[in-house]
Amino acid sequence: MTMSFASNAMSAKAKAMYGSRLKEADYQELLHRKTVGEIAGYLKNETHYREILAGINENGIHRGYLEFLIRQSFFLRFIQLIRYGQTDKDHFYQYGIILIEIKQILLTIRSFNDSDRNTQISQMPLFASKYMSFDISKLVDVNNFSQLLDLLKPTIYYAALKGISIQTDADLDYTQCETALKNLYFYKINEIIEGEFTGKVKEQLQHIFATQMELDNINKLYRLKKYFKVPPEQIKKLMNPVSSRISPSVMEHWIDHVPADQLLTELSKSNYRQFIDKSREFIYIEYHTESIEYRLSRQMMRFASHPDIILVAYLVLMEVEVNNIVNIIEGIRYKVEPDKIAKMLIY
Amino acid sequence: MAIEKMRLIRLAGSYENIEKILLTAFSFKELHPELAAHVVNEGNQGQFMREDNRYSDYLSRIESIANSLHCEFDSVYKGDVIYSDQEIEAYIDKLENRYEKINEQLMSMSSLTKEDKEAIDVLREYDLESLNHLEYTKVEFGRLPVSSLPNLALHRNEQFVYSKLHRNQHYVWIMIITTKEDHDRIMDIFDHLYFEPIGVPKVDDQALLHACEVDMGRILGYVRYCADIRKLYKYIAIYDDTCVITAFVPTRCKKEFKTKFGDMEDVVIQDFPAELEEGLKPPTILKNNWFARPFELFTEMYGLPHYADFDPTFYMSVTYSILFGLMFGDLGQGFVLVLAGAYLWYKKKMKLGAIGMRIGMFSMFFGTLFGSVFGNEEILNPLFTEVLGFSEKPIHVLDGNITMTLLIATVTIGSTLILSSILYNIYGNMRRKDYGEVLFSQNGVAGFIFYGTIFAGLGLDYYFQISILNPVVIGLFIVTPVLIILFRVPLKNLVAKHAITPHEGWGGYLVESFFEVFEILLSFVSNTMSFLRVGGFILSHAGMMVVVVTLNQMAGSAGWLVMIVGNIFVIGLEGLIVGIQTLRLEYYEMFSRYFQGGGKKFVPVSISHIN
Repeated sequence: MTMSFASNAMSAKAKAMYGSRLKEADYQELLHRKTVGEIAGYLKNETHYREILAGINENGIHRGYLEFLIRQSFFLRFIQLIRYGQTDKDHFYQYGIILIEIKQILLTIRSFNDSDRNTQISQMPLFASKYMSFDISKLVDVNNFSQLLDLLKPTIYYAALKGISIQTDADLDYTQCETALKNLYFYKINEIIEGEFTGKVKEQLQHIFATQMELDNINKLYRLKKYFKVPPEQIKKLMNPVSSRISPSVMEHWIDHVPADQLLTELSKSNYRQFIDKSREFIYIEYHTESIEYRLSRQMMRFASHPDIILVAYLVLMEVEVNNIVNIIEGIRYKVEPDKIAKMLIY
Repeated sequence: MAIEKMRLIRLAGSYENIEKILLTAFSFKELHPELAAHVVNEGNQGQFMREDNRYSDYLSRIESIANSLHCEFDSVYKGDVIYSDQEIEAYIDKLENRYEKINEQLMSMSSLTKEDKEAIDVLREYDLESLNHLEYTKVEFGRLPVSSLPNLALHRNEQFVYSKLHRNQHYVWIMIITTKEDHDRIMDIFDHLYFEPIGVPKVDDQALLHACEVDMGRILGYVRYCADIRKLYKYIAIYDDTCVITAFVPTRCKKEFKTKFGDMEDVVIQDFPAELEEGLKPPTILKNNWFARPFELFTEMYGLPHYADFDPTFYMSVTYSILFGLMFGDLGQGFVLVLAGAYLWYKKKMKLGAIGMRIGMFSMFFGTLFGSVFGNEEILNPLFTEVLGFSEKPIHVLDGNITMTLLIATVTIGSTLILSSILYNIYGNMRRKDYGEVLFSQNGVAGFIFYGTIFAGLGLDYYFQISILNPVVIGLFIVTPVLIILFRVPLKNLVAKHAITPHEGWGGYLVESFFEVFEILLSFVSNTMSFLRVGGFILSHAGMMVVVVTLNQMAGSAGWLVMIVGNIFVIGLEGLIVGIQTLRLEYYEMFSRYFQGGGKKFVPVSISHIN
């Protein structure tokens, strides 16, 4: 009974938090703000971000710090919901931590080439260090792939990356590392779901994460075809081995025969067609895949009853909200017309 | 009781010595000077002192800076230094220059928060101007999110130093020192860590403010001294080479004033009776004993009496206190009024408080007579029966049998007050030597005989059943005075030895005067009836307290609360109404009969801040 009570508490809390999300009227207000300070002021005074923004000086706030606080709020909500959740499902909740760690490892790999330590350090979530499986601050001292492997040796990421053989650091393929780590993520998620869930819940969770990975594959396919002109055989190696609503044969057809610009047309004929926002013209592929994920999660939020499914759905919806706010902040920073910023928002 | 006696002073001295004369004369606290414009006329061929506004202009420039900057400094001129105009202008130019810099700095800081400013205060420990002009290093100042501090620690190999100046939950305010070479790179690091630059202030506004205060303290005293001296020029009339100041001083201070000029040989002081010059009206200072002094407030509200008139304050204070005490008679509530008045007078220095203390005592006296304490009509019964030996308390306000007696008694008091007001007017007009008004006016002897006869006739008949109103008495003492009042203008003309015929002719005069006499007779009746309100308020006060006591009995255990709230309500509401009604009786029924205003307020002028 205690477990059930805790689970229901998390569902109720997540739904209550979802209830306080930004609505269309909030986005309209934000779009009509002229400065980052005005955005901060509105979020601080009128929205559920009031707690995280309490005490800031909105008139002089650094744009990056505002974005940082908004992202930190997302993480704090995740931690807050876990506290309401079941205590025997701790492993499941680690999927969020794995994603954060993978992002930090990839930022480190990227810094080998462009030496952008400042960005790497600034984006390091040291406020969440105690939840990490290794000391992420040590990534700052890593200057090459071999040092990275040494650091990651005690972690699950070592097995995923050790197979990548390179002569020099210049040979290191970022996309290959990203694929290896994403595969690991998918593998670990499935392993946790297999171990902790059964029956229909297990199936639903597997489907949710498979869909996330599949949409990630579609993003990757578009980018590799459009910007890097990568041949189909090479693309196939970089795809995550997952299938949800797109069958492997259809995916292979897309890889082999469909040009990047027709990919969205194909997507709108696929099993994702009901989730595609047809009112929007083609902006960029990530908009549509994120929009699909948003609509799927919103549906789950309304109809799912299992607390872990509600948690996953809520986190997707919140991440979309955070991205919306960041898009508005960036748009205002670069003086983009409000109409154009509005087209990038998903709600 | 009276109006302070004045002397007209004429103070003459040489132009060369004018500053010393002014300083000496106006250091005296009780000097009422007259403007030269009131003294100089074509007949005496006097001239005005030339206006000199230089120092007023300097003063307004300095004071506008001092007010804008909220400066605090000691600006008393000690008479030790004299500044030339060039020196003063140079000081002011320097001040204005600094003020502009401070203002610029304050404008740039206007968007900063309180905590930003607190951090700047810590930064002031360093020389701010020097921080902006270092040769090899650069200094930045701003706020960094507290959450960025761990990330900053990861830049351990970079060449910079930072110092924490202030912090709160979100931010830490820091000063960053880098070499000029590394500055841009280091600031890029801080930018990635969401550093919000504020910038080291270009000037230390507080140091500049202090410098301004020092300079202002140095010259403001002198400039104000010079400006104040020149403000007194308007009181100087010049006859040939002699400067003359005309003023009034109270007679009791005349000697003291003269002794101030003891060692000044070229000064001549003459004093004359206050009313010597027709064009110069002497000012009025009311002079009363401790009891009546606070009531000067009410007299002055109506108007200040002329210097040659009498001061009605004492008469008013006594009658006001009696009427108020009658209408608001309650021992307990009167005591509350005394306490409240004492608080307002001793703590807040409000004259109304002092009046409250006095009328509160009269309330207590009449309250004791009525046997009323906070609405309780029984509590004082033992005092009357057991201590004083009465069979019962003397006045039962709520006893229906006494109501008519009470009302007639108050009308009797009112009539007495009207008669005494007429006597007061007769006295006043005798002082003014207006014998026509003394004898023939409705507020003179004629009015007194008319009203007094009716009052005596009715009074004797009511109280002692003695009838004196026979045809002879009516003819002599009622009809004759009415006829005198009817013909008062020709009679006054006769006394004043003017042509007896009224200027509008006999026909017009008689018609007009007939209606006037009719109105006068009506006003005697209405004025008398007006005092019925005194009885009315005695009854209404008792009635309201009956309501409070009844509610108290209905409220059971919360009765004490009803008593407190009820008493506060009655004291507040009825106290105010009775106070106003008494004032109305004073002004309309009494003052209107004898008071003539037109007095000039005594306004002493002095320059006390000059040492």
